[in-house]
Amino acid sequence: MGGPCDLHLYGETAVVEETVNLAKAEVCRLETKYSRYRVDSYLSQLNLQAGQPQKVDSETSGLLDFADQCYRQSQGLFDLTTGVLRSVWSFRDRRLPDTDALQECLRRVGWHRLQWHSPYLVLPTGMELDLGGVVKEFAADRVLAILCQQGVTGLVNLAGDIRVTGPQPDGKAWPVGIRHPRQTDQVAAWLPLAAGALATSGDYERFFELDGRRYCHILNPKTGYPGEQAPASVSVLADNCLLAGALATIAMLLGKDAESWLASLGVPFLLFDESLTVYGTFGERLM
Amino acid sequence: MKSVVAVLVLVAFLTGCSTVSPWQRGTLARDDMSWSPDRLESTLNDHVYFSKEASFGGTAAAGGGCGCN
Amino acid sequence: MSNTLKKLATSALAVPGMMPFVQAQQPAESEAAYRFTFYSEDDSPASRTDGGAQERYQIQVHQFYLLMPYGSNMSLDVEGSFESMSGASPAYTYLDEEGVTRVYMSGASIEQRFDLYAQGRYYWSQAEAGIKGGFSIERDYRAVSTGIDGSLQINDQMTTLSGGISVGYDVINPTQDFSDTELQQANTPGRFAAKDQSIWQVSVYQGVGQIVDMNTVVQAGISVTHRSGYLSDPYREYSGAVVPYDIRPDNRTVFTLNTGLRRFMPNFNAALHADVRFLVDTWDIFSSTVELGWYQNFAPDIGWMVNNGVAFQVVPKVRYYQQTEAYFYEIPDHGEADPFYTADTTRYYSSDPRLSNYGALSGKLSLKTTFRSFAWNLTGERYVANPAYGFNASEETPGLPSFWRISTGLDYRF
Repeated sequence: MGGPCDLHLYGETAVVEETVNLAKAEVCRLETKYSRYRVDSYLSQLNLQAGQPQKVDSETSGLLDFADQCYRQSQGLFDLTTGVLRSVWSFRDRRLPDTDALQECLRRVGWHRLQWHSPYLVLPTGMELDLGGVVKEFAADRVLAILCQQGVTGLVNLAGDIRVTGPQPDGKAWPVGIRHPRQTDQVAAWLPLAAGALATSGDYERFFELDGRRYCHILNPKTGYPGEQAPASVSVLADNCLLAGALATIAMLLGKDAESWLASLGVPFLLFDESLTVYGTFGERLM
Repeated sequence: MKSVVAVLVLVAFLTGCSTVSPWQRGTLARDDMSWSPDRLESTLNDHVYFSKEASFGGTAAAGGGCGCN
Repeated sequence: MSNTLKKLATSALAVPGMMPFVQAQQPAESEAAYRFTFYSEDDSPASRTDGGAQERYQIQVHQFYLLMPYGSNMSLDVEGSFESMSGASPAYTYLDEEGVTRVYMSGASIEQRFDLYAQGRYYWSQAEAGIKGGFSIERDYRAVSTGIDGSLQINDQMTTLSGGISVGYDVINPTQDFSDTELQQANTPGRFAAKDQSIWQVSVYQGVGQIVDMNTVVQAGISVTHRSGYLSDPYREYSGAVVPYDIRPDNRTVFTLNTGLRRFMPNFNAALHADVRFLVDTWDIFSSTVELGWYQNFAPDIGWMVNNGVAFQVVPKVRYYQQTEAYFYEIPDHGEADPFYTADTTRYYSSDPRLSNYGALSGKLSLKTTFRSFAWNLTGERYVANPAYGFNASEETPGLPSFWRISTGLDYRF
């Protein structure tokens, strides 16, 4: 799932072991199903059938419906079809894409171009779906559902998407650290998480710097570039990881409007802007 | 009119309950929050009070009879 | 909540698999439980009894319970009890020549009762259904019953609708002290009349439960029970009366309304239980019952106790009950005629104290000690019935019971 994953569980040994196995199996199932690297994955099959109408399963339908809603509520910023831009951006070689190539590529980007009438999908030829923006979050929520079904108290952390079943057995909240966007081995703030989910999106995950500007991997589907004056990182607290993750991603794409948008939603958040000034409504800040 | 008021009060009450997310329901699933936490004690309570009072039932369809009343 | 957030939140929860279903779920573990109860009634005041049997009425009860998950969405459970009763119970109440209310106590025999109920339940993610059946056997009384019930969670699982229907059939076969029919009728008219009589019962329940917040849940329900058959008490008889000393209507319909509240108090680590029931029936009985309980938990923060899952729960409970009298409740005046009822079987009458206007108070204290997968229970109850508790200052009702009850037993989860 692209990052360290951990589970913190309280319960009887046998139940905890069973829970860990169920959680592992569920994460593997989702990773396999929605992997864009495996030709035989369910997602790759959908992409291979581009150009033809196809019926998708109910789980994928739910995720696509959610992505559709995110697309609408973000004025087109949250878009699961931006994956093809990877072919023109090379974060490893640290260079900007060729303008013509980017323009050419952008024609294959845009949620509005595909036909989605749940559960029927027509993906135009040349376009690709990349569920990377929702699957990791969804996997964290699924693991939490397994914990609840097993009656286990715990915390799930799938590469920064964190969700808890409730407070710890002694009634105390879980102390959750929020990574500093520049000194990424340091904690910038502590958040007592007693319920719900925390997701963080940052420009430090995959990026390069050129001429004093930082280019991160969260790309605007309209321009093909990262958001202007995008925050260094955004953490959002919500009922579940799916929601928290989408809100954090949209905030990154909104650039300088991120803070006012999050404030207007009324969700608790913590935001480091590009000059590392902190805004937000939660957390015990250490810096 | 009275029933209208009652219905309105009920509706107001139900809409006043903001949704408690499933992950917030850990407390409600506790044993000591169940409607009858101790099965055998409930059974015997029903049996004893049924045999000593004119009343019975209330929380489920009435159970089987016995010669105690 | 802003509209944008509401739409996103709804859409996220609509993804299949997002909602963990904690409520409607098959029991994860098997459970076995045993309980022993000793029940002892106070002596009937000697001054008010007329020389009949006076032994203290006592009951010993052994109860068993076994619950097993079956497959991935079913459970089976079996519950049984064995009861042995001894001592005297009130046979009839009357006014003597001096206008003093007296009660005649009868029977000193040892009676036994055995019952067994089995249930199968099926669980869906937001619903469950059960089917139940069982019987109760005594020397002079046999009963069978069966029922189905179900519940459904709606409104984001915030609301639970439940309902059930049950049917019962009882056969009465009172002990006859005389082999000769005429002697039976003359000396034990009540038992003679009740011979091979039966009772049918149909009961329907409907309820709704609602989650109010993270710590509070409430419920309300109504039930209707109709009983039809020989509802008189065969042992309330007066030898020489020719007719039974207890003749009740051959049917009774009972309506109940119950409400309940469970509220967890995180600051106290305790749960408050409150239950209220109102009952009204076609015998003109109206009753109300209020029960309050406080489930106080203690989990000592001591190393070996924490490691062995040692926890304590102390539960004080109080219960108040009050009822009005049945329209045919009557204390025969033996100063006027002895026996009072001689031939009239066309009208209804009963001096059963349980049909009088009275109230009852009960206090209960339980201690539950949990150790690993075991729980040991100890419960004591004191119950006192009195006409005055039912705001009835004008009548005396000797024969109303007061009792002590002590239970202890072990629960095991595996």
